[in-house]
Formats: sequence, structure tokens, C-alpha cells
Amino acid sequence: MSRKLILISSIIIAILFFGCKPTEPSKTEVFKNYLADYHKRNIPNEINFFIIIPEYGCNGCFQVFIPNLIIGLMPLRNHVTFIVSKNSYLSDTTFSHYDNLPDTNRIIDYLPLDVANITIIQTRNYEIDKILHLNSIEDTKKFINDALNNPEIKQ
Amino acid sequence: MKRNFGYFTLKILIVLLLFYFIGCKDKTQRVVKIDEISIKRNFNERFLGYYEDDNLGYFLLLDIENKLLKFINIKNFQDDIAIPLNNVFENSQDKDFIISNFFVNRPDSVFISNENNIFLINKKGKILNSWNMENYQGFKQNKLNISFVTPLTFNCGKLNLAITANLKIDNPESCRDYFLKVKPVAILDVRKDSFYCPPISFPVAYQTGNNYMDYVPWFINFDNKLIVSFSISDSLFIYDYKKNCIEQKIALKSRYYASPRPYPYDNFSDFAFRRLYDFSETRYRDVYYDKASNCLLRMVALPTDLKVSGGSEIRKTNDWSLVLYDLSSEKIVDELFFCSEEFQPYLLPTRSGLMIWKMEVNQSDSMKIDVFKVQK
Repeated sequence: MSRKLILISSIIIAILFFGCKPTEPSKTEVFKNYLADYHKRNIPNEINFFIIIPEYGCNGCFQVFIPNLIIGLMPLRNHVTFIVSKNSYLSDTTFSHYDNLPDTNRIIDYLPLDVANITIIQTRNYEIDKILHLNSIEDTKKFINDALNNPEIKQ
Repeated sequence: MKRNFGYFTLKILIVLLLFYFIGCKDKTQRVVKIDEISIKRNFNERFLGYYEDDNLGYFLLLDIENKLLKFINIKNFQDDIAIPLNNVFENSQDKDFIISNFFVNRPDSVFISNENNIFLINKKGKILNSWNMENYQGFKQNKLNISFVTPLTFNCGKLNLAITANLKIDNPESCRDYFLKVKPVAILDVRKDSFYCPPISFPVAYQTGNNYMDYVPWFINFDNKLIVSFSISDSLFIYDYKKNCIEQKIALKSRYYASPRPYPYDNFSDFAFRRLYDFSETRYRDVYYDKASNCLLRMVALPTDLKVSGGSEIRKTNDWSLVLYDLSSEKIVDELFFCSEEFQPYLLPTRSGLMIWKMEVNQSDSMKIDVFKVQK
């Protein structure tokens, strides 16, 4: 009887400690689901740069970095997708020469993808390769330069 | 003996389990829900605030696409008044337009700050007066800017502005210097056409050389005075315009308050770090006056785990609490906790009650608001 009670107690303790901890999806899974659910897209096989313009960030950074990205990435535009959730850029023509996915409900801002300021989700082989943040003009120029010199991209 | 011990352990665990499941639902009845409101809007409309005249209350929406300031009547949700903003923003880009600050004194006198300019417009959108703050003695020389973070307030001919200074803060010395020298509130006396920074200094907690990424206080007008709340100070500071001094301090400490960690200088431009930092610290925020209960309400943003259970999304904002300070007894009567999965840290004391914004999954197509009555 006593053993039974100890067993029941152990089960309750296990429920308390582990019951509310579901397995967390990977960043690739989260992003894949987001693209499918909200944009009817998939992560492509070829290398691609998803450039997130979120609400969270500095306005001054956006005003300086975005024109640099628009001009600098033009030779790679088939490998670039802008995801825009920042309200002031939603009805903007800035991204009209690029693949542009407006996110009016700011879903991307609240996914566990470390989105803050201008965020680059670099993907390859249907998966996230890396996540970068552009926090300075130097970061922006380096990112453009690295992308232009990426041997995997045919311009 | 063993068996008794087993039963005892089991009973304790069952009690714990019960607390675990129902504990969070045991809410105090200090605020009682009396109504709920739902308003449709589109993503081109930004919510600005609330205005009430002698008869009615209005939600204020900024229609970005059509450059209109809309007054939405809370009885029938019609835009009774729509003030065109073209005159103010004819030379402004949309991005600047978004970070403007508004104060509705009456529909016929609306103040708008845009960068360092302030405009006064009437119901038809005609500019009645304008002030370029940079023309005032001391403003440009001290590299001051009007902040859009804290809302403008207007009282007895005086427009109250939150101020930042465009000074580099990249080490403890420059940080200490900033918080010693800069006065974060400015007053534009529109009757006398004069500008001054009243003697409202940052509290000593800011003057240690540590940076807390917090540059402007929150403030409201109450009883022809200005109540100022700093994010890392337990006190509220009451500024008297006539005496031009801090007349009184009210100790209004949250039970959750813990001194924040300084922000590392090396992470200044790291926004991903900043986002995590903001979720990990306690901060006092806005202060409100609820006329019906004669209480001051002080909002506190609380440290919050960014992850939502399941891991498929993160929190939109921090959990928060509301400290209720009864002005009649001069005591804190309660502090209420609000989970940010249910309520946004946005509230308005109105004649209809205390409106608190619900957290919505879909942000842009509607606003849902619960209305509460405060019971002391």
C-alpha cells in the first residue's frame, strides 16, 4: 500500500515538473510554418535572404540601412525576400522591385526567431542557415558584400 | 507509520496540485469588470488616445493613409469628427508622420509635435499657431529634442514635453554627466510664448554612471500640477507650476520592484539583446488619475519570460501590475497583477470606467477593451 502511495506521489511530482513543458519547435520549423500559414510559401532550396523589417527597431537605422539594401542587393534580387511588418513601410513602394511579403498583423515580430531591428534569415536547402542582425551601417555593408561574393549565388 | 507518512505526503501533494491549477484564477475584486468594447479598424489606423467632452467619449485614431485625426464616438463607433492633417504634414514624409505626438485639448484646439515643431490646429485642420522649439533660447544650444515616447499634456496654457538631449553616452562618465545635466521635461507656455525646463532632475539612481536605457519620464497633469514618474524611482514627483519647484514626493513603490541591472555599454546598438533586456527588468511606467475612486494608478512593467508555452511564439509585451494609491487616505490600497497574454499594458481612466486593452492575436483589424470599476 505504502509503495502504491509513493508511486502515486511520484507521478504527481512528475506532472508538476514536466507536465507543462511541450517540446519546442526548431527555428526552421517555426519559420516554415509561418511562411506556409501566412504567405503560402516554403523555404526554397537555393540560398535566400529573408530580410525582416519589424516594428521593433530604430527608425534612424531603417531610414539609413534600407536604401543601402535596396540598391546593394539589386544584382541578387532573385534571392531576396522582404518581410515587412513595420507599419510605416507597409504601404510603401520601397520594396516594389523585390519579392515583398507584407505582414500586417506583425506575426513575424512575435515568433521565436530573435527578430529585432533589421533581421536577416538566411536559408538554404529548405532550412535556416543563420540569423543575422543589422545594427550598424558597417553590418549592412558587410552583409551586402558577403552576399554579393557568395560563390553559391549565380548572379 | 510508513503508511501514515504515505497518506500525509499524498494529501500535501493533492493540495499543491489544486493550488497549481486554480491559484492563478484567484483574483482580487479590487477592479470589477462592468463592460466590454470592440472597435473595428484597419491597419492604416493607429490608436492615439481618448478624449471626452461634457457629453461623450471619443477614441482618437490616426488614419495614416488619408492623414486624418478621427474622433470615434464610443456610443455608436462612428467617426463624428475627422480633422485633416495635410496642412501640418504637407512637407513631411509618412515615416515622420507616424512618430508625431498629439494632444487634444478640444476638437478645435489640437496640439501636434513633429520633430521639434509644434502645431496648433483647429477642427478644419487649419494651423492656428506653430512653434519651432529650436528658435527658443537654450534649446538648440543644449542639443535638445522633443521625445515622442511620452505623450504631450496641456494644462492652464502650458504644454508639457518630454525632452532628450542629443549627447553621446558611451561610458560611465558621459552617462553620469547626461543624467546630472539634462532636465527631461520642458514647458512651452503658449500664452507667454516662452520655453523653459523646470527644475525636474533625474533621481539619484540615474546618476551613478550606469545606463538603464531610460531617458524620459512619464507624466500627467493633475490638480493643476504635474505628476512625474521615473522608470527606476519608487517616488512620484509633484511639480508646482506657480512655485516652479518639486512640491512633494509620493512614495509609491511596487511590491514587485527590484533595482534593474545596468545595460552593458558594449551592447548599445544590439537590438536583439535590448529586446531581451526589456523583458528581464522591472520598470515603472505611466501614471494615471482615476476620478471615480480618487486614486492614482501607477503601472509597472514586470520581468517576463519571453517564451509562450509551446514555444511557437513569444510574448508581445511584459506582464504588468497596477499600484492603486488612494489620495484620500494617502495609502497604497492594492497592487493588481495583469498577465500580458490577456491584457496589454495600456489603460485609460475615463468617465465610463477604467478601460484596459485586451491582448489580441490579430492586432490590426480590431481593438477589444474591458471596462472596469475600481473599488477601494
